[in-house]
Amino acid sequence: MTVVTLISGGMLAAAALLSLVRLLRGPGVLDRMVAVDVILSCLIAGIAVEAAYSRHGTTVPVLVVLALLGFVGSVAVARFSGGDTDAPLPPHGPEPDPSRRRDAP
Amino acid sequence: MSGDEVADVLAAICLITGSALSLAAAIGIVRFPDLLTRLHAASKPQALGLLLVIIGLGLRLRTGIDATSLLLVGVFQLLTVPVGAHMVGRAAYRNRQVHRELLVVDELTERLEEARAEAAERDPGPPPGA
Amino acid sequence: MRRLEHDTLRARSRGARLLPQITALWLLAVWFLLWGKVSPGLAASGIVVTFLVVRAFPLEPLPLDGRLSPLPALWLALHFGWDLVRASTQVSWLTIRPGAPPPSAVIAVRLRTRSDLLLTLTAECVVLVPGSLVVEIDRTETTLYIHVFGIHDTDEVERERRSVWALEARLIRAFGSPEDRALLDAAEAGDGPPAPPDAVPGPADVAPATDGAAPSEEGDAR
Repeated sequence: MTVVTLISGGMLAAAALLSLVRLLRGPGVLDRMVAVDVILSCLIAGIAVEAAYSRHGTTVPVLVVLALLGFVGSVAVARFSGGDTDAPLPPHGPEPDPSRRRDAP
Repeated sequence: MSGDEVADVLAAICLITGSALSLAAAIGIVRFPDLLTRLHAASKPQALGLLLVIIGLGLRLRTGIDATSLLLVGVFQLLTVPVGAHMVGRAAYRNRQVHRELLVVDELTERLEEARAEAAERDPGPPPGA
Repeated sequence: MRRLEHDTLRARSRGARLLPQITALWLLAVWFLLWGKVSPGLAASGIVVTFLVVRAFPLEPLPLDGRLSPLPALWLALHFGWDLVRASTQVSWLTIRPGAPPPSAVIAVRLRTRSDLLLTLTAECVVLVPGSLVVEIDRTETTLYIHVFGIHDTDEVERERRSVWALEARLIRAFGSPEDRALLDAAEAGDGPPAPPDAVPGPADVAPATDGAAPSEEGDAR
């Protein structure tokens, strides 16, 4: 099991370092968000590998929290990254029909 | 070989494959040329990789209380990764961070320009969404 | 106009009233899974928490008039698992393969279903099957705009469209309402989705024989 832990841990560390390269290079905030997402998933995987190595379940609740954290983070950044990201697509058809708008009551 | 040993070997295989997929995802986000292709790398191999690591951990721990929490982690991953990838991709497209020259066909831009042209015909005022 | 009918239909639908109960059951299941055991005290506290969450964050009503068919659902799950493995290996191979990554495309796929639930489920699944990623959803026309990785020519575009339709067909056979199943059967008889009367033909339906007004593949630089 030690060998397995070393191999997986090494691969995960390399993955986190590579994502760090993307995080530094950018160029946009969304590229950085994707990089942070991958780093976070490497972190989750790393904690899981450690728990598997020492055969204890103490850190399992941490995994649950981290699994949701990444999602909340990327949705928040995507929504507030500027631009008109909340509007529906412009209506498409022979004439505009207000009832087809997404935000119609 | 006892059942425990079999489970440990399977766990080791899952852990290593899962880590390798995470590494592939990281290589992808460094090597791929634009955000949408990077999102491909960050969604599919990453989701399966994490799922495999979680399965490996479950096979290694083999207790009920951990298994239920790990099941939740897996379900959350499968539910949230596609939504997150879609949200980021949508924001990227709308913020014009997509390299259009990398696309062979772009039917969404065609569609948006058609709609814009129709709107301009109906109402020759300031162009919407400029 | 279709959307207006659809909205009044949704308000009256049986599923619109069932939605809080289904959400509550799912939340209760999450509660027990988090604790990892079931006991009377946990059930009582879980019901209190669930009630508070459902009341505090009410969801928009959603018509849930689908029928679950067990065998197609099993087929869907197996196929999805296989697709997920295939997608991951494909993207991993592209990352380690020497040379530049292949070109990609953004294509419009008009779905046969009219229900928001199946539109959402299809969009979720499309992200995890090989090669595709949803960038935009047109809810009024139930059209997905999908970024496809590894597209070289229009033949591959059509193949990708067909594979999304196949995925949607599996979902409808597993969870679809009778209305969706009828739409699917009608579409499969004619091979492709029927164009609704109130819509102009999508980019896919623009025949190559039309005059130069149709946007060409490289000519529309902004």
